[in-house]
Amino acid sequence: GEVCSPTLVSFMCCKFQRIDVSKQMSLPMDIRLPPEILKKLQMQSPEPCKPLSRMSRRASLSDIGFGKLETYVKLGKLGEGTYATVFKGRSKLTENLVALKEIRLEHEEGAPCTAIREVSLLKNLKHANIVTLHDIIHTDRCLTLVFEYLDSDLKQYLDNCRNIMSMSNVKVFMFQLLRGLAGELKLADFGLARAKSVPTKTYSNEVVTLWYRPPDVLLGSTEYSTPIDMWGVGCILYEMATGRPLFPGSTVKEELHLIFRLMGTPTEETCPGITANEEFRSYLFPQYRAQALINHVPRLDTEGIDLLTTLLLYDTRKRISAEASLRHAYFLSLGEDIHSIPDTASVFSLKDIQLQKDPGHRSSFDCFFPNSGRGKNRRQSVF
Amino acid sequence: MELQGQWWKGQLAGDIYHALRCKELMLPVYKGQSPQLSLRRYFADLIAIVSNRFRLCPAARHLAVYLLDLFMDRYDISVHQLHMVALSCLLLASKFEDREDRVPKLETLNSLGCMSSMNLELTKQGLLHMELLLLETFHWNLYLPTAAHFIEYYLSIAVSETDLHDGWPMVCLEKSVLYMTKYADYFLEVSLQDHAFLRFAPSLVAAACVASSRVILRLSPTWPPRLQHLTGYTWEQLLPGVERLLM
Repeated sequence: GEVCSPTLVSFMCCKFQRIDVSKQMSLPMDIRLPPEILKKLQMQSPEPCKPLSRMSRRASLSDIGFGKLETYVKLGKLGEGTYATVFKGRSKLTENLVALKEIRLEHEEGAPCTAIREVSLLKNLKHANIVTLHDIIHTDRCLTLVFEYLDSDLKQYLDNCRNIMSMSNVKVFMFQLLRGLAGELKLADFGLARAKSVPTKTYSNEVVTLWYRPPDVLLGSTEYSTPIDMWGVGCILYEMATGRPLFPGSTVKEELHLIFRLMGTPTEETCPGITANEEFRSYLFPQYRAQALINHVPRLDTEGIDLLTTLLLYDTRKRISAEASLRHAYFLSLGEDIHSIPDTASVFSLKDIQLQKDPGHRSSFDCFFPNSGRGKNRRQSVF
Repeated sequence: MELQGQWWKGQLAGDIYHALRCKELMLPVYKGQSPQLSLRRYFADLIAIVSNRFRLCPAARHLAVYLLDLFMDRYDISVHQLHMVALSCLLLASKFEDREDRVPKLETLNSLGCMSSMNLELTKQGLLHMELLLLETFHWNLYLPTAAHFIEYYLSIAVSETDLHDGWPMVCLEKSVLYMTKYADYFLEVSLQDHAFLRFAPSLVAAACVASSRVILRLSPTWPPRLQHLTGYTWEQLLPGVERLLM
């Protein structure tokens, strides 16, 4: 069966913002509603006060098109799996683009676990760097989750700028990713005791790439802990700064080999308990020495290299946390105010935070290298 | 519950506990106005029996009863439908709280002796409709802390070497810890049987279960400063809950 865990959810939900938008959880802010209906909606108390008032509440929400499939127009398929199919769509209510995630129900006994947990989790999170769930529609055959449409994920962004990102943009994107991970997200799935394991499938049931997995997981740890995400964050920092994936292994053995060759083969000192790990011992890896990261990520400054080093520590207890990394010297140049903006506000609400034009951006790049198509469609993505 | 699920032992325990206490302040209002309130005890027991048969975790059982309470509080439901509602609450809570492979399968559920003796059968379609109705009622948010979510955290410091037994130093700490766990579980189940406990915050009910266990185990002081500090509740605040549990 599929598992739902914060690792999966955090990589799914964390988004990068390029424009200044302040968001609301339930209704999009630019929703085009007649004033009298808006007024009526605001009058609605969230909990019905008397028995049997559910029908009337439901009627008023569906009057304006919420919870109805015909409110959304399908534009094209974005991805498909055994559990769900994701479509690009448009809301007739707001004219905004949306992502429609259709979850098939015919093979399930009632509502699927994954959907219940995913929606509960999202209903509990209000954060500018976490994807917004606008609506839920159900029929007898399928359940449709309506998400805001994200026009670009990291993969597309890197493709668009031909893998050459401005280093100041790398910093801003990195900060946003860590903000999402440091917030309530890390706790959201924890407080309630439940199965926590590292996912091996994405929401559309594709096998999750190994590239962002820490060695502890590759060596058999199934326990979910937040440092798992932080390793992946390190891999993403490298990828943004260099334009190439850090450890693009296609098998577990190859993945571990790539990691050890760069970071050094783990020892009792760098990774307590490793010599007792049967799986590790059975691989018989050579004793590599750790390489200096600066030689591999020359565009990253000293503080950036230091952050990267602490993200890629073998010892999960020493690996830096999301909160601590937000306070890392690497982000000092973003100013102090960035730490006091509310969770629901975008970092771009600060006037000092602006994205630079990326050196490799298509429009500028094409003038010089019109026929260059390098770097396209190579990258797998966790997003 | 499996080892990985023991959040109260991990680095994040303090943060998680704090998040649960915050969530607890935002729980929906319970009014105790169900026309079928007299049947509530029967259906809470049904949920407890079935969840024991499938060895579901306490948090799933408590969440299921809580969902049933809130749902009954809002709607007038026929007795026959209440059976379906109670079982759907259990399956829904189990899907949220238990490991996926622990969630009862309909076929196994329907083959239970108690199901056929009550002439009950839960169909796939019936379950889906009921679950969607429940989810809509709770705005799809099942992140609702119950006493079962708090008790493990409190139990981690419920007994200490410094405690006295009948006024004398303890002979065997391990035994006291074991008895503490058993009594706390017992009181936790007692709290499930009476809707009067819905008056109290879930964290207070959990603290009262630990306090009642300490009373029964004759551990002194009954409510030591470390427990008051961790739970944020004084003995005076716990007293109404403790009295009800010991009644």
